[in-house]
Amino acid sequence: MVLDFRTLYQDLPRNMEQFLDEMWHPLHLSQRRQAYPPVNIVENEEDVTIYAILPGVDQQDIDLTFSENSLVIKGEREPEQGRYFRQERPSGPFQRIINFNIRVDQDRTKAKLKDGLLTIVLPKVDEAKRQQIEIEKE
Amino acid sequence: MSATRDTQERTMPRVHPAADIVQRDHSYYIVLDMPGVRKEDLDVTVDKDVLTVAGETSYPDIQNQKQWENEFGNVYFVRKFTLSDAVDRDGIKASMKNGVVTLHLPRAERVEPKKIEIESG
Repeated sequence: MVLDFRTLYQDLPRNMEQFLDEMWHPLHLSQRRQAYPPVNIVENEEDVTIYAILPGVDQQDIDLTFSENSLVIKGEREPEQGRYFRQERPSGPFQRIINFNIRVDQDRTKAKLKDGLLTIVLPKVDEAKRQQIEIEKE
Repeated sequence: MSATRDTQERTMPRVHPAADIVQRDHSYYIVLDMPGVRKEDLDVTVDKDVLTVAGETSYPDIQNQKQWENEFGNVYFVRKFTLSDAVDRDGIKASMKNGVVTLHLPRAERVEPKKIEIESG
């Protein structure tokens, strides 16, 4: 066995510091994922932006489809080839549906993928932008 | 690592990236999911027997925008592995693509099976 995890903390006390260090910094909540991929969605005046974490997936393997008021992010994560000693990274097909309560312009939607982060910018249609209502004087 | 940088890193949550370890041909591969980490922010070091992979994410800041969903934030990824003698430490290579780090660990020469020739006497 090439990587012996049992020996990780064996040479005390040098590694004691490392051990305690890791104890005081427990795993972040964001690691407990329910839906895949995890997303951040923000809205501003002009558009709605979706950020999705998709490491290890090529651009051509991500399928983005609009239906009436939702966007479907679909794809598959390929497992590594070879003999496994440890497998923690999820693999297989995934799908997530994002619903909108406002209208977005599907034709002007842009998506890019960088460092495993998928960014989708959905411009709002004009009627969905906040409008100033003039109050007419009598 | 300077003290200043160390302090900065601690402001982000520390997260162990998910890792796969596989053997292929005459090498071992450690594959880690580290999305949002730029190539230039990735740190791979070998100190004696300990291989450390670390890097912080550079997700866009969404704090001042109207949020519909907030399921992830910036983190400091760090993970340590203890290497055995079966790995050729000088031959370790790292690459990064689509937020995935692949470490290539070639097997040390001496652990390859060797056939001993029997001399005819």
